[in-house]
Amino acid sequence: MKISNQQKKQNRKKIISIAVDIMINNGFKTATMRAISKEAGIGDATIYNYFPTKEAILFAYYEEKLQESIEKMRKIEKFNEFTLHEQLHTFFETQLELFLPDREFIALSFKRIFFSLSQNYEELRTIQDIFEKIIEDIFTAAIEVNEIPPQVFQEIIYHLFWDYYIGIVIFWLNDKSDQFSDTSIMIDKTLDLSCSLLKAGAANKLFDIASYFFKNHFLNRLDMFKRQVDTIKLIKREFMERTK
Amino acid sequence: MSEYIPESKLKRSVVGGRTAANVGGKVLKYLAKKPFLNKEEQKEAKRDLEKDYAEEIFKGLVLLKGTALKIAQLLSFELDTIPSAIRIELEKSYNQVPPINRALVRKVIQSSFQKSPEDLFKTFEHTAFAAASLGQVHLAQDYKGKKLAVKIQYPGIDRTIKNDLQMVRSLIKPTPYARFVLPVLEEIEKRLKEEIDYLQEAENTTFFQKNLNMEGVVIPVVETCFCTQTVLTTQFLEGQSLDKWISSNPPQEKRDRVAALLHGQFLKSLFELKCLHADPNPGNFIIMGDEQLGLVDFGCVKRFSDEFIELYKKVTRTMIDGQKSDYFEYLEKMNVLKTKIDKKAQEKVFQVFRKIGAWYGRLYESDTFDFNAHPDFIVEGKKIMQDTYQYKKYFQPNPEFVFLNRTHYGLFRIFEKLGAKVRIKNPYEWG
Repeated sequence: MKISNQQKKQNRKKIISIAVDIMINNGFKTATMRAISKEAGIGDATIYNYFPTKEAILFAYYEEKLQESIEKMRKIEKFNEFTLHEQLHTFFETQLELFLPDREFIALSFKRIFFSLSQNYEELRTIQDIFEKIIEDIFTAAIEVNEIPPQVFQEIIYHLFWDYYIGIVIFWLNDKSDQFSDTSIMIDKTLDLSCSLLKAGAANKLFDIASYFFKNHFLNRLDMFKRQVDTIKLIKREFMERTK
Repeated sequence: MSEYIPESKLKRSVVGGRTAANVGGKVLKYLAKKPFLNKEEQKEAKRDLEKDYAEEIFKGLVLLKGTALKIAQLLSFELDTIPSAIRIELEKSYNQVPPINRALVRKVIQSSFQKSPEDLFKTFEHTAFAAASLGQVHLAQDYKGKKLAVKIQYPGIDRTIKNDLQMVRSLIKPTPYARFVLPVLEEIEKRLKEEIDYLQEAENTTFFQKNLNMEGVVIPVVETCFCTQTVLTTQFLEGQSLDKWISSNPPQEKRDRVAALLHGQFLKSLFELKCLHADPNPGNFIIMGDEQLGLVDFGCVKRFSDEFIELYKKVTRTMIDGQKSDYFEYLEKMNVLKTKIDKKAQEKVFQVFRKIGAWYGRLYESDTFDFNAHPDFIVEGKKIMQDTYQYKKYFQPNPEFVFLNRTHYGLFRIFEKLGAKVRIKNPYEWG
């Protein structure tokens, strides 16, 4: 029997949510593919049509939450009027808000996923790409309205935000304050600093300094070297002419 | 934004530590000088030192902003020796709280109601229209179209208050002010704790809304379904804040009417409800159409015992035309005088109170007091209060007075700004 795309999507969602529940109750190791498929009412073999491994379900969970964040942010009225700081902050808070019902699962799986560089690089890369695309969108909007100057090495800045995101989630997992207000304050203050640096074009200025040194020292040396090369060429020419 | 409160305890302690080090330095300087001074000079040097203490402590608190600043403001009403430069700084920064960014506003609503602002309200303005004590107020509309004022609290403020108070305590402890200030700090802590409990504030607001019942005074209705510990929603009062209204230069009769309403609500609250709206900041008074007076922000409410109010009713008359024996009987009942003072000291204390009485009595000399005609009234009073301070060793603080004096002082400041004629003489005290 052929099933519709819609049905497929629903099954996928169901598998993820059941896997999360089972892992919260029984831990990662005891949650088997068979147990998950049984609970989801899907054939033991069919589940592999959706996810080749248990780890793949974990990755799919984080991917799904990022997509949901985008949907949620789209619904916010006048989100385009938010400052860069506020947009970034809203994004991180939205992520945490979506993580909240599954906090125990996040505690269980987060490090496994985000520090598994060598094993599951491909899957992690997919999540990171979606994440960086969101950051890029927010940045592009901020540059368009002249809130921040165009930045050099934008890619590197997006990567830095990825590391920052991992840091936030780990901080949040260890946060014992009421309504996780410590995490909110931490995000607020760190973003305050980084956005001020971005507004001041700190990266651009660092680049300017670097290129100044590069031009002044390295290119001068190169010039000296060129003169020496010229001298050698001259000698060579002289030599060639005299030996004709 | 540079006006953020330094929240981490480490950073705040560093500022506190710096203040403590400065105070310590001053003490060393005094001790080093002491052996070379004669008795009079020693006394004077000690007085200077005390002044320096206050200066250093307050400098430190001003630097910390946020709740530390609020504590400093409250204390400044008690310590009249604080240099004017710092006092100005404190008054300038009244109610200065860091703005809460839109992302944080969303987060507070989301974690309070498990709903986003869009789902909770029909409309919600992300930008606040007013600052409130330790939070800010947003305009919203419920699904029936009713306009609401939604007050949001700065996340984590409770812990900041705890840390700040601890720090102020440790700063004050080694100073000569400790005996006076520590009990006052306790009172301040109680009020601040109440002030961040928005459910308590909702209750206070409803209490006044149901019991004040004064013509021309409006108290907003609380929308209980949109209230939590950190979010307080009430009916929105359409109008202008008092300071804005004053700057629009309204005619004298309207100023007088507003002043009368302000004074009327103060008297009725104090003497009948025995419960006071103790935050007379011009931002908490809304001038609505037809010069109706809207009262908002019941975070800082002070309740008094029946006995205290009965005693307090007599304070003005005693001060103005009481005999020496009346004074001392009264001071004893109020529990502000130390038990054993000799005759000479008694005479000194009496003279001081006479002076205060003469000054305060001016308010009651005729039916109305014209603040416009006496622009220096408050300044004079402050000077007299400062003189009192040198006799501090004969007194012990009665914390009940902290918020009462603050409210009184705040109202007089407003009357002065309004340049209004106010009927201060009232049947409660003069009946």
